[in-house]
Amino acid sequence: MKKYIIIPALLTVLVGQNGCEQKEFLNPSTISQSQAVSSPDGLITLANGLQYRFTTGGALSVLYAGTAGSGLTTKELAVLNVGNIDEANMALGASNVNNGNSIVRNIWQQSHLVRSNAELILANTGVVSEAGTKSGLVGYASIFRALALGTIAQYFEQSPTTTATNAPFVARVQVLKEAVAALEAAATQVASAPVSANFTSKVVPGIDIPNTIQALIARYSLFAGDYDKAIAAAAKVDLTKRSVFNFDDNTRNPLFEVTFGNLNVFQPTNANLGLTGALAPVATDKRLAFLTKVSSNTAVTPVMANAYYTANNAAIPVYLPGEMGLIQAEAYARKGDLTNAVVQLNKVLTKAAAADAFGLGAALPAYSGANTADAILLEILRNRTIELAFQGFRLEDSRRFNRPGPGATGSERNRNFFPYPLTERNNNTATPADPAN
Amino acid sequence: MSNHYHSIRHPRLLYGWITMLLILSSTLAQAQTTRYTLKGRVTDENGLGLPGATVLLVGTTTGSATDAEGNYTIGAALKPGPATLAVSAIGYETLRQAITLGTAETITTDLKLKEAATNLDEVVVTGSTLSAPKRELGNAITTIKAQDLQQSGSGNLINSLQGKVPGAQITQNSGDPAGGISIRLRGIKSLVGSSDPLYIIDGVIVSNASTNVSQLALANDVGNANVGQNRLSDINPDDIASLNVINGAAAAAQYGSRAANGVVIITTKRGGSGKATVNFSTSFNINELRKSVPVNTYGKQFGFAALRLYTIGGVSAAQIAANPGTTTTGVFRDGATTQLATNLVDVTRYNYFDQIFRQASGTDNNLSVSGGTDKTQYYVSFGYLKNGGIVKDTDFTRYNLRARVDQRLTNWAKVSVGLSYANSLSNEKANGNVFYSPINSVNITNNIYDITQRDAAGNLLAVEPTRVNPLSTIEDMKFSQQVSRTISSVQFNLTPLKGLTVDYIAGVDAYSQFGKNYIRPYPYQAIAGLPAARYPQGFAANATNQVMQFNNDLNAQYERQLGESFKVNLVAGYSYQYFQSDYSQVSGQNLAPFIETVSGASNATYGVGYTLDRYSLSGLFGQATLGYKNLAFVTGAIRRDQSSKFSPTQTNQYYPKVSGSLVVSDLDFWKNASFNNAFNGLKLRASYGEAGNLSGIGSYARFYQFSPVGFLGRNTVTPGTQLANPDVQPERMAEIEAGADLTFMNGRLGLGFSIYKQKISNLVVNRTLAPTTGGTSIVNNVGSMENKGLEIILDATPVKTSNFTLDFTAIFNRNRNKVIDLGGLPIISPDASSASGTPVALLVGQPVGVFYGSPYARTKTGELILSPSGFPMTERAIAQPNGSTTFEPARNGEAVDVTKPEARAIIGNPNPKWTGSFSTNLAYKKLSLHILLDAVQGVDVFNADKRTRQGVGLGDYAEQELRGQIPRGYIFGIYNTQEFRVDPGSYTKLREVALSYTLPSFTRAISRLNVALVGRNLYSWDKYTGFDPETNAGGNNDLVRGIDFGNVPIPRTYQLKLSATF
Repeated sequence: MKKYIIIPALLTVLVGQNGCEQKEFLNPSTISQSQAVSSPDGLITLANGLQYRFTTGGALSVLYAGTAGSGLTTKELAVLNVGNIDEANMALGASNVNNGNSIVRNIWQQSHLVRSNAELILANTGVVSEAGTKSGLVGYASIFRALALGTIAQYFEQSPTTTATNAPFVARVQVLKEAVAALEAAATQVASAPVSANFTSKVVPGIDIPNTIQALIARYSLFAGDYDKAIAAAAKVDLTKRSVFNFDDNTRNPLFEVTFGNLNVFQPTNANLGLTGALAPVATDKRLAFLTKVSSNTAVTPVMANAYYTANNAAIPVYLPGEMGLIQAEAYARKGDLTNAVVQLNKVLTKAAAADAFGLGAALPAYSGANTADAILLEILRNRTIELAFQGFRLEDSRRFNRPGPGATGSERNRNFFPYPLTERNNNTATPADPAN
Repeated sequence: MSNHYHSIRHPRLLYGWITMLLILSSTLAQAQTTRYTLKGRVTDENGLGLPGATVLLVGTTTGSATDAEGNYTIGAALKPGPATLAVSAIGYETLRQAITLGTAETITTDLKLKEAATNLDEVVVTGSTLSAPKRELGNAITTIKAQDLQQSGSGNLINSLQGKVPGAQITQNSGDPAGGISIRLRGIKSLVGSSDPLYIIDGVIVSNASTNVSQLALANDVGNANVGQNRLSDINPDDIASLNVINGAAAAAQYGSRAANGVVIITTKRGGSGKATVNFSTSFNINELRKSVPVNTYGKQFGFAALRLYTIGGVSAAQIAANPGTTTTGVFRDGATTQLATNLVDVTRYNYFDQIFRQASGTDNNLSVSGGTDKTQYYVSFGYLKNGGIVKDTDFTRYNLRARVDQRLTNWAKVSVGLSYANSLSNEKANGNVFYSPINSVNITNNIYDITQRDAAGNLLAVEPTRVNPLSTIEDMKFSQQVSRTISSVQFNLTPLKGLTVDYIAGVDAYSQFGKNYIRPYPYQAIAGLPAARYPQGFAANATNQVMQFNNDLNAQYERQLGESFKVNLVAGYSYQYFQSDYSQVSGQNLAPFIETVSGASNATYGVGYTLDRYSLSGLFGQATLGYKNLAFVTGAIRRDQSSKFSPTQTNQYYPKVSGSLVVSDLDFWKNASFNNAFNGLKLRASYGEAGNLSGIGSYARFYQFSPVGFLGRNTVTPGTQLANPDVQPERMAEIEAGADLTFMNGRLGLGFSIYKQKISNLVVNRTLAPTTGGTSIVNNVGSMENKGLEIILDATPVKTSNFTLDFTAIFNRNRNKVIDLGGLPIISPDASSASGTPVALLVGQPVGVFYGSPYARTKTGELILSPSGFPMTERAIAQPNGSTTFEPARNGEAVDVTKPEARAIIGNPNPKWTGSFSTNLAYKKLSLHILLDAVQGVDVFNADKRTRQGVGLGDYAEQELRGQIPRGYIFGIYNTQEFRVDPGSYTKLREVALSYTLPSFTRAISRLNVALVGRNLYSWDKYTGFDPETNAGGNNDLVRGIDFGNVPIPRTYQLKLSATF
């Protein structure tokens, strides 16, 4: 019997063994912010994260939300199944587009997350000693910060440009200038030291950093009304180089994945991209056959998008060579230099597919219309809507070219700007009133 | 005071103290002893043997339970001298019989028990090794016994509890054979963590998690829903002796930090001394669809056969040109006019549900052997269950093995071991939340295609573009999971000193889940054009989840009479709990022909993932009960807990409790009162307690995490969108409860009621952030919430004679949940809706999870305002603040101003006004009838499927529009108004009916043979327009409830059951 006396003693030992230390358990599958920004390699993984967040994730991605927001409000795209309620409301426009709309929210939210994440990289480049790697990081982060800010400015009247609680809002022109300023700083850095092989070997392939910086300076300077800067930057872009967002079967082309690869969400309105009247395309425009193809089920939709949306792994251009010509054409025209405007416009009109880095060519005769700013600008707009179809510029362009707005006769768009998403309004006291339309 | 805290703060000191005490006392216990055999028979007043009565030698743990004839045998080495036997049996007064241990080594004592006028001396389990007579408790605790589970017609333990627990709302979320089921005691307690109670089986904390290993394809579609079977489906109800359900925080001191949601303490069957008893039961059951939904079988369609969504889809000029004969009418809605087709064309319509559902059968078999000697008792069992689902090709199979051995080591020490192994296999179909689930694939496809048609190779053909042929979901998709689980424990029970008991439990719950997922490439993808979310080129995946929970409890209890009037009971305890899980998955798409596993996937589509979870929790508690004259009791306790989920500065949490009870009917004035004969018992009770939710947040939720993602072959990291507060604290629930237990007419009528109020403070909210802060949400303690409620239980036995007994029980519960604060936000929308489109919201001042959406426009007198086209329309509001439940309607004169934003109102509430049940048992000689009615009243369901069926064209409204019974455009007119989808969800179900007959004895080999006919969910009284209002597409998520979205309806079951005792 005596042996049982050992039981209580052993129990005490048992309990004492596993009870006393309160361990802290960390998750080895994730890292902390301080770990992430502590090394050049860590910053490069974050740079890849910018592109991941901006381009992938299907309907959540800025690429999808931007194309949907711009195309559905301007009749470029048509909804195939009204069960997709946010897309259907976007196509209806006016107050059907409310501040809970997921397309509105995703443009805002994902862009601001990308902007904030990019600022985190830019604030921590001090740990990078190698100049070429620093060039890569600053260039990459600035490109995505600019894309985020520029995208926001295309859809919203005002926006914060900094990360903070109750961040203050500034006018969209200021947002665009902030994007350009960031790109110019990056251009200086990249010019001082070319992007290193170390960076190139670790970053996601596809983006040509020096050319993309100039292309985006041109794009956002034009939107901001700074025409000289737009012309100068667009001229610096090497049009033979391709700069693309790459995808694969796991991280898919979001537009192909969600909508252009099936018949369930939206597709181009028709082979003329929904353009009618003064903006109707010329029938011989060879770009049309590149942009759409005949639908697999014409009872559902007459055409399906083609272009850069043909497979999960199809690459989407960051900018197109044609956009650079049209930026210069428009900037010259707005400055009153109609001669140079027509020169630049003709480069796009007469471009053959074989001469374009992406195989996109109108192969049309040179401009022969009236030599007035209005006529030339209309031709420039027609070409922008075709050359840059599905890339999310149509709402911005319609507004900038003063086309008939919401409620006007022959209206070509159903909104001017989007309302601020509820998630911002409810949690940021600085949020301004929503635009009427 | 300082000493007291000292010992709590330093666990080692406490153990040292206990060790010394134990060694000392056990030495003292080694006095001269003699080996005695105590035996006899326990009977009721009529001399009938009482099986299952407990006979205990007072002051020791020596004791035994009586066998089927009421006989007991206790063998023990004891000191000669006077001793006391205490005999207790449920429903009888506890008898204490003095005996003398003298020279005779065998002492025979027959004991006759008196039926109890009150049940106040029934002993109730309050913790894994703690128990107390009911009279001492300041809280309501419900006890469910084995026989209450036997005639439920279900092989799932929690299902069997439906309608039997006061204060519980038990909802079967899905009719899958292993379908999830959720149990909420006194409402929802947390917005981030689970509100699932803590389950303890024989002292082992067991998991009831729902971890998805078999539905990996839907991960992107399901939102916040927590779908799948809960792990309690591994438990065999036949092994259970009793369940004690502790609703309140104050009653659960032993589990303080995890008790906020209540505790369910499960005790399994044990063997008794005596010859072996063999129990065997077998059953056969049939499951069938109880009620279907109306399907449009009218062979017409608007426009042309290829017109999709013909009820709501506008027709373009191009379509009219391509389909001559198409005529249209303009219908105005929300400021725009849409041209809807009006001409009818002939089509053939089918009821696809006939191809999906089936009548299925099942069987449940259990064999147990129990018995023992006076020193060793054993119980071993084997169970086999197979149950078919009413959706074709779904089933659930479970094998259970269990052994429990109790071994007396000395007269002051006992050891018991429980071992169990369960293996379950379920064959599933895709969960309802996706459009390739059997039911949703029907809901979203116009029923004008013959889905049984095949091509020359035997492949199914395409239906409507972008839709899955419903038969593909049955024939070409396989989802299954296999679970191996062991729940094992070792327990030491020591009584080293008179009045002192020391109990130690070590328990392990370990299981592994392995899931297989397969979607065959659709042979008709070229025509159907399915989106990527349906995995057109096929999908295969495997996942494993390895979980281990360990708990280690040491409790010491000391009870002592102080003089004539006072009794004191002291408890001190320590608990350590550790949890770990490792989850890994691999998936792939674009499968090679005929290969059904991920091995056949294109390597470019491989997806892998690994997540792990670890946390530990430890707690110390002390409790003291002071009793006065066995009629008044006060209990106070304090518990301190630590959890690794919180930072070291926040980890120590103290939870106090205090409770009291007063047995008024034991006071002298009552005993002498004239009404004492009719009104026999009155106990008043009250308690206050605090409990925590230390496991309520994710183990790493207090860290801002940067996560790696796979991206084009380069290392990629994305900062989390969820920012973090490192100092987040555990939620705290404070509850005040009061109640009374009344007994009338010598126990024939009993009434118990409890009222309670819970306030949950430091409520953890995953608060939405403005994206310009760099994140989209943060987990923080910013909210508070309350639950108020009432529970009433009435038991009556109006007739009780030797041949005929009639009893009934009625339970009524109401709970009012209210969100008080959301950290200053007026509203939080959990990412709840998934594809169902349910506008679930958390609103300040409202219960959790209300449907906050667009109502119909109505006049001030409540009449519907019709649009210019003559249809009900969505209400519009002028400048309605976000989260506001009231608004000023936007009007242009009498008409609705459609340029203003849509109004938001509470259009439905998934929280019932009350729940209740009524059960009755009628026994005549050997024949008995059991009926259970279960009611959930005053509740709404968001019937997402109803609208889908109308829009696609197979619903009843669609048929009425085709037949001209409602005007053309009606469905289109109301389609966007969310109120259209809210249906009344109140129901009263005929939950259980059992007719059983005990056959006359015809051979000595069989001591008892019973045959029973059982029905489950036979009928439902409800006004719901879908399959079944008891449904929950959100699974076990607490915030997403009352949503019907492709859910498998709960079947009606008939069962024939045979049970025998040898």
